[in-house]
Amino acid sequence: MPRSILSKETKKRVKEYKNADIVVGIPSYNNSRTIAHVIKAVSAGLAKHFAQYRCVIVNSDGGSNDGTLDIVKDTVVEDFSAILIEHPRYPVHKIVTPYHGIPGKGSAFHTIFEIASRLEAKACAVVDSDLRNITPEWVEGLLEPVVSHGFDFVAPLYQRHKYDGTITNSIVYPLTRALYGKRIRQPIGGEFGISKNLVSHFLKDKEIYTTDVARFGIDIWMTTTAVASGFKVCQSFLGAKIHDHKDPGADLSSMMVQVAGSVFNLMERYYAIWARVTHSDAVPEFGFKFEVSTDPVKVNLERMVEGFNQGISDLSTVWEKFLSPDVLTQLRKLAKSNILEFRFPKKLWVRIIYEFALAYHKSVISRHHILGSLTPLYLGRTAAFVNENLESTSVEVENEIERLCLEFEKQKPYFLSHFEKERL
Amino acid sequence: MTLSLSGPFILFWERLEGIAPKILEVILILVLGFIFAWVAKFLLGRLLKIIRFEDLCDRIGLSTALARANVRRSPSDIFKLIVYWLVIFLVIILSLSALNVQVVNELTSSFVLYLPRFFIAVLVLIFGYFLAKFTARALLIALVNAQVKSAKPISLAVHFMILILFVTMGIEQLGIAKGVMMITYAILLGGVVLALALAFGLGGRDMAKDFLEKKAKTAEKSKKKPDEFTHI
Repeated sequence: MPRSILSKETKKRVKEYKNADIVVGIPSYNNSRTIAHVIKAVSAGLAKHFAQYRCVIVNSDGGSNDGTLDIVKDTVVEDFSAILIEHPRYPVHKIVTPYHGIPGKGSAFHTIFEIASRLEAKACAVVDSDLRNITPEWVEGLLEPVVSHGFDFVAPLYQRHKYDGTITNSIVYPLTRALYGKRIRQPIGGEFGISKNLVSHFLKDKEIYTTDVARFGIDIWMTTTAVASGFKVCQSFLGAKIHDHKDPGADLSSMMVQVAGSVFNLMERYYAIWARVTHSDAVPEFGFKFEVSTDPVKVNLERMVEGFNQGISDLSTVWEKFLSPDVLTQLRKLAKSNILEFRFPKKLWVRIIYEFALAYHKSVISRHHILGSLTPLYLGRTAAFVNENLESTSVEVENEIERLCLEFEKQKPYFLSHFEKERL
Repeated sequence: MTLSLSGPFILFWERLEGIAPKILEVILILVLGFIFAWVAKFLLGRLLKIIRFEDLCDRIGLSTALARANVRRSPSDIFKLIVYWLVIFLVIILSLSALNVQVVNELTSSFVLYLPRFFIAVLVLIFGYFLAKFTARALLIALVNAQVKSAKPISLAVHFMILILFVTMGIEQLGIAKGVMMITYAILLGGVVLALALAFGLGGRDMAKDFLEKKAKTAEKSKKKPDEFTHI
């Protein structure tokens, strides 16, 4: 019998509650600055929109040492009478538990899913603990499509700053859309709504939580698994998304390795599914869309272009092993342009991503090295994106991303033919 | 008189008669050995094709390394040749031992005893080659991603350090100049570190100061201007 990932104390708490209708999971690690607000917003959301349901909030913590756990335990659900129409029939319970396994968000989710499954919850939602602007309506947005409309997977839809979420915009969204044919705009958004069936499905393969899925790869794994396994998916508009500020460049390379590695890895698993997909379709949307102003962000263009140029001069010997000679020639030409005129054509970028995916598939060199060497190219593409969209509105930027997606879809036959050749 | 003349011939004939079966044995072992070596080479060729040995060598960079060294034979050809000549060599040793001559026997046994050391040395060298390559590439990628300007020379230095270490270990395993190689390596490494320390500490004191100040300023500059957008 496999060892349970839940501690004795947690199992005891779960047994006490017997079952629940809704579980909302909040993974955390040193989020003392924001977690109280997140818990209050979630509690209010549950009390306001799901008053007739038995709800449990699960905090799955990765060993915080900044007092996060104490804050979670001490955060009391306030008197929400001002925002409530209906008085909640049941109190909202809280389970605070450490998670076991590889440190990361995926392991925290594993624990949350395990608790939701034991409580036989009809619906489960997960929200990040570093959110500064989560409102009770987010809970409704993520859970209502599952509870009332029979959807299995609800992805978030945000209004973000035009430069925000560049790994999503330049790799993950266009690539998963081209591969699996579903236009899920934020496949690695961080907040999701999940049905009971899908939670059980996520728990079938325990081994997956020992891979990069246990870290940053969890979001893309959940989205891809839901789509590729034929579950009913939709997306829900939540408004703007504002995180607690951390230096995002600090672990860019490992983030890239984990996210891109998970996307490439899932290609192997779901080859039979995506090989048949020839176009993409929109998915149902929930929520009332409105314009939100986002804070201006600073971008160090010089540092990004320098990173790209250094990659060209130092990593060419690595790329020569798997990038086509014409791609390398074009890259070398780009390195000669000055910062403000720096551009990175969409066609070239898409070709590079597909060639990296092929190299990963063939294991031309160590897969970790392949993924690691993508960072300077990503910096180049991001710098060019910033340059191209200095004056653009958010709608114009969205159109630009749409054109990139279409380029990914256009070049998919090239990728597929090379991928198939290697499988023969 | 007749008897005294024919005596040496009879003696020679008797000795030849005594040694002839052994010579025949040697010839037979050699002929069978050559046939066996040829068959082994042929079968190995087929096996390497089945397991796509050439592709594997392409992936691990062995083909490129050979091409760079101007070796025109393919890795599987080289592997087949090594196995072929190894079998031939063993056959020759086996055939010589059939003669049962004391000097040859001693030579053969000391060579056979030396063989495991030789193979371990070869394995150490092969492992060292790949480890050096892997480590240097991992380091290069990490340093480039951290935007360390001298990423390439640092990774090259690490590459050669690891290679030298493993060559030293290989030679040590072969028993050539035991201990001397390791001491040489230690002196070399110590010398490099000392030279760098002296160069920076005395000779290039001002240069080192300028360099560090410049580095600190650059770090300060990039700290002041972090990117504020999230990548995911």
